[in-house]
Amino acid sequence: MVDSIRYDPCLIAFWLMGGVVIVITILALLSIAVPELLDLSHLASVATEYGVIEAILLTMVAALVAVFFLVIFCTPLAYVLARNTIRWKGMVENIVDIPLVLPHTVAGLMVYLLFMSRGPIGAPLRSVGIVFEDAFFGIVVAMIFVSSPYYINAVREGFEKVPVHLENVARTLGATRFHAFRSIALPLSTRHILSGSFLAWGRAVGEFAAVVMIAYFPMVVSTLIYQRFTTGGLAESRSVAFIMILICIAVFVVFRWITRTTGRHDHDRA
Amino acid sequence: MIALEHVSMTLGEFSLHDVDLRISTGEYLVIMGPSGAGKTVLLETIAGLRFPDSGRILLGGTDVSCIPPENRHIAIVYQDYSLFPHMTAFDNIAFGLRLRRVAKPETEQRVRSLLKEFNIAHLIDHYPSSMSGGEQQRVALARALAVNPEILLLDEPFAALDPNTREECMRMMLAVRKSQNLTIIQVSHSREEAYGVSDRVALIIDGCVVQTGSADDIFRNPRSPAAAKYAGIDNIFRGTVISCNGASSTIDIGGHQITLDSIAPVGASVTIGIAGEHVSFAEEPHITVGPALNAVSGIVTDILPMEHAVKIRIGGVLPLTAVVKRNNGLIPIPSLGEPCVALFLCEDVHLLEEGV
Repeated sequence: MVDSIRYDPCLIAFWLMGGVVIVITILALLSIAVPELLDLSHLASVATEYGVIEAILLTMVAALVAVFFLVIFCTPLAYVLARNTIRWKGMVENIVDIPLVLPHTVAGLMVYLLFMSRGPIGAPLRSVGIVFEDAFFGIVVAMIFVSSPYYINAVREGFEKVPVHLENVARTLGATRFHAFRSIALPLSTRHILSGSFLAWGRAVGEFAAVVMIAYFPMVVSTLIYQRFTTGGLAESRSVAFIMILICIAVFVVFRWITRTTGRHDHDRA
Repeated sequence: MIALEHVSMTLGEFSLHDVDLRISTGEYLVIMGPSGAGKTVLLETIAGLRFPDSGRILLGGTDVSCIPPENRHIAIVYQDYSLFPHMTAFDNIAFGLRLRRVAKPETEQRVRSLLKEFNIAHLIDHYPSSMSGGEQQRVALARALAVNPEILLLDEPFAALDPNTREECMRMMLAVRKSQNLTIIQVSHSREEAYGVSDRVALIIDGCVVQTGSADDIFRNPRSPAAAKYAGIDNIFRGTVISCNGASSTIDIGGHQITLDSIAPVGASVTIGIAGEHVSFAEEPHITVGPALNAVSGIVTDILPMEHAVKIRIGGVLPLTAVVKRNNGLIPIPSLGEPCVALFLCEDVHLLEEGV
């Protein structure tokens, strides 16, 4: 009787179906990890290459800068989307989601047209010395563009879970709207802000198409892997890919460790 | 004094229509009404958390309609207490004092004295998630009172508490009101609370204040059909006045005549209400009805036992519901399917005003 509940055929079938995806992911990781681990000297030589280290650092830093801009500009947007019931809210939400549905080459083209040296934003900023074409900030804007929906949606969901009554009480106790936001909504959404940041950072690190349209150089890791794949072959690109896998897993573990106690007072966890 | 003058607003499915209400300083007003009537919206409008589409709100004669909540000196306690989950009891209570830049030692002293006053000193470092409903309720009250508000708004504050704690909280509120001459406006669904704490009750239905008065007034003397329905008046009928002799009137309801001790113009279409508690049964099916008594014969179609009474439905020309006290012994309770005669006094038939 107990066994028939424990081994529910429906749940077993679901596990098997989902298992296909899990197995493919594991196989994909192994297909890179096994040959690399069998040839550690080659891996070490690639890992210490100046170009590889530079590309990895550039990617990490550009993604961090992109997330920094997202936190500054998109946290307030996520809050108003969560709280206000303005007439155009649905349309704003659709605009926020546009980068999700666009092919990334299209996103890249859009970013390029806007930020190129003759573009409507690129041209005036060029005159004050900020260049986007084949430059660090070109990479950053492309990353911001493609990762913004991940950040905004995650954070908006966090704000939506903070009961509006808490802010109402804070206001009757003397808090301005901004103070209520800062002392109530923000701390109770930290978990979502961090996970949104991590999601956006991951998305930014992985971006290739949109970045390459505006800045082939300096090379981000994705560009480097593609370039090695097309010029040096499989072994060359695989080593860089494996190093990237290790770094991403390490970052993920560190993130989980840092945020292990975050949000323990969140309403949906209480 | 708080005065709401012709306050109207629409907020999704909730709305307020032309609300006119005056609450004196130190008064304890209980707002009652069915779910979705707009009670919470009304509280939030008084607090400044929502702004009326039209009309004014005056506090002590000053129009505060456009003043944000942080400058109104009105505190609110919600049904779910809304304690800040990431703060301890101490920080929750100190929240408003810190915003007012009260000095640290003074804040500490005030918070500690409130914790002591509400018998929750042991909770000082506790987070809300580790408190019981009653404890959270006390912390929420202490937090609201810490800033010395002039008006305290309570949105069904005792609804989620067990009966004993609720009674204790009602006593506590009365004591608080007395000691601080606080004006309290409380939304409630409970008659017990209305009778227990209120000076006055305002009944709100579909966004309109339909009646204000003592709890007794609201429940025993409802003025309109809607108020009567809310007060639990079981028998509400529409009929036509066929005669009026200056002290009493007789109305015709589908061929049955009912006499009541109120006057109404002959020919007028009126609505009457008879509380189930006022309906009793004749011992014999053939009874001589006196001038002060109405009699309706029928068959018992349904019997529903309740805690202190039995609700009996009588089917017939005029379907009636009677609420008979249990174990009374004096009044015989007919059994299901049995023919019976229901009796009620003419003075217990209330004329209800339409459109109120």
